[in-house]
Amino acid sequence: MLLDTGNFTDNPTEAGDLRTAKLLESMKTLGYKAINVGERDLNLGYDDFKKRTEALGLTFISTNIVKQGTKETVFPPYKIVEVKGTSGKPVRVGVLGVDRYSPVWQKAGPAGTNLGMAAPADMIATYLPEVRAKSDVVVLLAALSKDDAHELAKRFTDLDLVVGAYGGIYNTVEETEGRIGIYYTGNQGKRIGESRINLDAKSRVADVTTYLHFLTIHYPEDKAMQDSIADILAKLPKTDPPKKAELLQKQAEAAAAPAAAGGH
Amino acid sequence: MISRRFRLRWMIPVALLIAGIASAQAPAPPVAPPAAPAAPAAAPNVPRTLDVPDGALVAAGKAPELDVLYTGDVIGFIEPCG
Repeated sequence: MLLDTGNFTDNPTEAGDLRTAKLLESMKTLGYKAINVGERDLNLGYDDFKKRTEALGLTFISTNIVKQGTKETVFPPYKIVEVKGTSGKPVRVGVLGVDRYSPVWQKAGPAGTNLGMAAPADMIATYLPEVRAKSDVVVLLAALSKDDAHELAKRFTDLDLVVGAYGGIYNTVEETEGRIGIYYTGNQGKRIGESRINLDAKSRVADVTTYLHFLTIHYPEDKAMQDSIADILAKLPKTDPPKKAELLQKQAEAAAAPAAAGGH
Repeated sequence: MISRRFRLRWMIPVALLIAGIASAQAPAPPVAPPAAPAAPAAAPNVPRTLDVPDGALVAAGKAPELDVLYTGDVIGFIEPCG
């Protein structure tokens, strides 16, 4: 079961839009079950977001993006995903998603409204009880700092797992708050987290074993996906200064630290 | 009348004699049993690494009931990044 914590959107340029569209299409192909809407995914407002995503059939959620000045969410605040467990029994996974709190964040919302960011804790407190009641496993997608994630896990002990991304921060070792695992995957798709979960007789989480896969060249390419991406790269404008500058900087960093070099 | 000096003259040797007898009759202080081997120090609470063991691409072991995979902050990266 694949999840994403959001902020998948590239810069709003011609090339950036092509990349974002291809990325979303690939996420659909890979079968992502729920995606948190990040701040940068709404850089151009709600209508633009809907235009870019509505044909894909992906599930976007946000527990704390609201109509400004209200507690009314504009995306589904959570998703209950039912998957078939290895034993053959159905497993219900409740997924919530939050972004960092910002009282000044504001974007154009639907039908002339504005979007605002409610405090994650307030909104989790609102929705967690019903998510818990409907789920065997509850996962929080966190697009906020790891310190904030710990605070949330400390307060909301009905969560089972917090997975997050916030800049380049990623885990190298297990990290927990009480019984709740907190795992960050870094950025730019270089790493993918994997949590292997077993349930007890009451269908509650019995144990979780987590790995973080660093997607170096040792991981084989998927030929169909590679060809599909090559097609889009060929269509990119020849110059895309922001992205090119980023790549050059990374190449320089990799050259300076060959032991840590890797690709994806 | 017994002079003070006379009393001291006898009291000190008698006191020493009594103390000597008492100490001879007192049970010897118990000999400490040989120290048990020291318990090994508790292993430091080192968190488990998230690396896949043995440099494998996928961790070995029994398939879990549920396998959750997750990404984030991909910001449009679809090509190799160095």
